Amino acid sequence: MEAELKSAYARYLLTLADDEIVIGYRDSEWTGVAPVIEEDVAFSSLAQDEIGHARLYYTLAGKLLGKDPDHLALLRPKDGYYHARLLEDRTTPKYDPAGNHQGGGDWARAIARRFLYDLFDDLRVEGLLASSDPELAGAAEKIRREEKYHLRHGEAWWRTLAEGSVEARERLEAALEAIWPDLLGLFEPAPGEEVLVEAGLIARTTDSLREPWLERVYPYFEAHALPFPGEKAGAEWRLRVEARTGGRQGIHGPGWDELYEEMTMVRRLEPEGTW
Amino acid sequence: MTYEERVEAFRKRIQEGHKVEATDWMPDEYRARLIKFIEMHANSELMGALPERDWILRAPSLHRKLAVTAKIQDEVGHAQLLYRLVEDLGKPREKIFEDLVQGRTKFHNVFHYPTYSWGDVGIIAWLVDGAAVISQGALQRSSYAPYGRTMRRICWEEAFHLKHGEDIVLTAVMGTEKQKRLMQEALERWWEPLMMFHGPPTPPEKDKDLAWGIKTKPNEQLRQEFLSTYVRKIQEIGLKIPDPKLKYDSDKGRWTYTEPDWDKLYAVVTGNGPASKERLSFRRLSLEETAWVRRAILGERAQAA
Repeated sequence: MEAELKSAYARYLLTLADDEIVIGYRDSEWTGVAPVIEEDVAFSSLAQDEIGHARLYYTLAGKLLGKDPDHLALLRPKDGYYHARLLEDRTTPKYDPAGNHQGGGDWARAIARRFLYDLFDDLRVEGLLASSDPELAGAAEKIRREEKYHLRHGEAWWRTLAEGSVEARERLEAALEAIWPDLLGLFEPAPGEEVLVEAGLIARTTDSLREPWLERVYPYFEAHALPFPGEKAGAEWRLRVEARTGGRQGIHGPGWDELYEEMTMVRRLEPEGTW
Repeated sequence: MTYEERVEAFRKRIQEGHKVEATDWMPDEYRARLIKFIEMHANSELMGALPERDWILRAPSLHRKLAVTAKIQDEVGHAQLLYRLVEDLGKPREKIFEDLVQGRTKFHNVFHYPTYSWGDVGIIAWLVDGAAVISQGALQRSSYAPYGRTMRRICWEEAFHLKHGEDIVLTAVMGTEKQKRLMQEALERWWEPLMMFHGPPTPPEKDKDLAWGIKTKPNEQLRQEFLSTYVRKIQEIGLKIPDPKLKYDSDKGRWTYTEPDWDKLYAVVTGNGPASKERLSFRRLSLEETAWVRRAILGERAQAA
């Protein structure tokens, strides 16, 4: 593989892996504090799946870069992670050993983020099934099998929040309003994606998934008369929201500062050690 | 038959080894003791998720991250199974949580302590779970059959937790000095709570739960089994147990050790442990922040509870 292609491919794989690991980390925080115990268990499973997917992608990236998957996951500099900003914020309360716990747990946001991200990821992974890299194609197939259950879980909760009570619906609407700019940030491409399409490694660039995603998510809003920040004008969607980007360039917010600090804390004690 | 006669017949059946099912008639005292015992067990599984939960984000490799997440998921799953038993016995879940966060019901002493390092994660999964498996193994033969069956499944899963914990500890003690120190310091923090884990050496004839067959082994016997199982393993991997008096007395056929301060245990389990208030206030916060979700999915049932 020539250098330019190899570097673009590694960057793309890291982007995939970082998206999955960050949402996996954030969702794993619901273990022990979810609204009902059944959901502690369910959300934990979803999170474990995502971490497993991240590990597949890190392993592929590691082969290209000559690095160990754990190194890629836990020992890169803070601005060297390329996940979308949508995924990095905490949605659970945070425990403080001195008892000054931070609130802000928001199940509506956790559900809205996960479901709409899953719909995006499903389209993205679909475009990897026919990859010219058989290892990536194989990983995509395995991932897609699991994601089917994630979508079912998300759909059920989406309906519950939209229709379960006035209060739940208001919370869902508020969460959606807050995350729209970051949802659109999902479509910020990694550098060099055109080269990957040319080489047949991926079917579509990330920004080209925006229209199909809008087509796919709109019916879920329409079915429950949830506010949608735009409409279709001819063949194109016109949205009233601006995307907040930067994630794919390593630019992140305070949610990432907090998560990065936590997730690397133990490993940094002995970075080269066996744990 | 009078009530007293029925109770006597029930007691006799239990002593003969008969098991009780949820739908069987049972004395009020038996039901009340079962609820209290199983509820405390369930609360412990749930509250036990909190000290370990802090380390889900901090696990030092992808493999450990997956294992820690799955382990804590198991614990919460155990809470779910056990709460169902309590619900079957007549106490609704909302009431259970209400009593828990108000400090009216208890959870196990070990979950009232803070965690400081990755060492705690290893020691908890290996030795705290190890101590729990010894109790739970004995509970498989509880006179209350649904509890015994649930315990068989739980013990099966706990066996993986011990391996997971032992592997974390072993990997660290074979690592650098810094890693080994994490484990030694954690062992020193956990030894006293571990020695208290099985409760004071109440004489078997005074232990009502034992008399009803809810549990099947006296506290001191469980502690002795714990020591027989783990002391040698701990020493073999080069960790030092912080009790100079600990030794096996072969004449008496039992372990001798520094007597734990049982008043301290009582203070800990009644909500005055080093992290009791913080853990309960966190549980309360998380319940409050998600109350709207339960209202949305349970509708009027949640209102009524």
